[in-house]
Amino acid sequence: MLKQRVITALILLPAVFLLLFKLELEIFSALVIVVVYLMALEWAKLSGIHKSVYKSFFALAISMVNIAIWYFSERIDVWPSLSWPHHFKHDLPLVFLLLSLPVIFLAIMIVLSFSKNNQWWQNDYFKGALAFILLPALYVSLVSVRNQGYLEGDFYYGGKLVLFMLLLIWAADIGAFITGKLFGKNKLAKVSPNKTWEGAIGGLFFTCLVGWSGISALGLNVANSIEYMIIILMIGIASVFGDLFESALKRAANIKDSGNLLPGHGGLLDRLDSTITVAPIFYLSFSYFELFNV
Amino acid sequence: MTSNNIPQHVAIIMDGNGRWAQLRNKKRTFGHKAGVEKAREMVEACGKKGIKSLTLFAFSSENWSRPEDEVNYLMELFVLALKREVKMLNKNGVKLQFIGDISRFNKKLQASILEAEQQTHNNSSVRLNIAANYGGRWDIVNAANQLKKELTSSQVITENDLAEKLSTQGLPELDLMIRTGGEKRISNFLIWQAAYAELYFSDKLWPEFDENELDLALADYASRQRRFGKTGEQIVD
Repeated sequence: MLKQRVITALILLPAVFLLLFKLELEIFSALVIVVVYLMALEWAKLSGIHKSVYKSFFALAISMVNIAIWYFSERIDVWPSLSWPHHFKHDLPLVFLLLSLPVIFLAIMIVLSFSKNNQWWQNDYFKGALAFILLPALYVSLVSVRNQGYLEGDFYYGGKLVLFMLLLIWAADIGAFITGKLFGKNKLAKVSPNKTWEGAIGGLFFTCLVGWSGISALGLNVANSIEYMIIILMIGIASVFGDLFESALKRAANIKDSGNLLPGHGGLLDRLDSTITVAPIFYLSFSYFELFNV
Repeated sequence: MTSNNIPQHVAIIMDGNGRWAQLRNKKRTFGHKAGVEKAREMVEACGKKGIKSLTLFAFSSENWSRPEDEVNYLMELFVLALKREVKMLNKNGVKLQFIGDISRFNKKLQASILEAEQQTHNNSSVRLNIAANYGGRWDIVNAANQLKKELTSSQVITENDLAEKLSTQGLPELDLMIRTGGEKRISNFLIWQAAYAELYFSDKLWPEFDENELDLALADYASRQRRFGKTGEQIVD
């Protein structure tokens, strides 16, 4: 299983590099819409939609939201808003980004209150509705991170930033796997019995390491390193919660893997669950605290 | 302040974006973004105060390493910012106009500028003029060249003839020129038009210049006795 997982990862990695460092912003945006469509198909299953026709409808509806955001807003190289962070103006992409914050908070509440008997959030419409904020917000935040440096004529700085964000997540993931295997004793959460506190803390440690090395690698504008490390820690925690949130949805729907698109990894949603919670927080905190080097 | 003391036409040299950014360890372009945002704020503030015409000059006093790029970048930001405000501009009857030699910008930017102007073409209550690749001497020379084509060599040209060919043709007389960022120069901005304008210099960097600072400038303007070349006694008459 682990071997298959590593092989899939090795095949996917060049694709990720191509996406981040070779393709124009418009093509990146279009491909993210496709990936989000595939994620939405899996989300449909978690929201109790079983017929494949209805799953496609659900995913198409999400895609329509994404396409509408693209169509009705100004050029994507200034997403989420030309005024942000100097001034708040209700530009569509920014609205979705900000709306995702309370929804991510809700997801955290779902994880924290998870038990077999009390599933106040167990409603298919409710679970489906969450995707209409979270998935467009994921799309918007990926494009918003990717377009950093675009107006200044540096077309691939944003690609490095997306990769950095993914590395933060992978560090939390892989770090937790390794430290969990070595020292794991105390169970972290009911929703995911294989996770331990030792693993989670180890993962956060690795995330902080990646975050720290990102400062010089990306020329980040860190005026206050304590403030910066708190942001990185929050991102690491958001990553863990993203993972647990998807586990809660799967558990409630009695599903093991969200899909089988990626051999060894399960579905796309299994692989990108943390990205859903991390990406908006990453973009909003880095832009608000003016950390990007643009 | 009575409405008599409100200037009809205000021009602002928006200087200090780059320094503001550098003070915060950011790239100059970050300062330009903040500056454009401030310009948006200032357009609204001037509209509220009853100023009929506002001319903005995006200026950078520092040496530009790649001047063409930075000017293009700044103008691109301006056009983007203005286009998304078209609704607001139309609602408030603002007519947008670019003054300066825009022929040196790239084709796409030129098209965007024309489109933005076109969208507010029919408004008349307030004028918003963006100086883009503008120079006061260029303006005068350009006007002279146009006159040359129309007149025979024996004809004498008057001030009025020339004024009608300047890019500010149709705008009210310039009453007040503000420069932010601490420098005390006109820097080849509206040199003809500033003949009788009151000058006001602020030490604030442009991204820090807010409505309160504008009020200070307007109060200063209102307190001055404007003589248009006459003596104090002549004004009292």
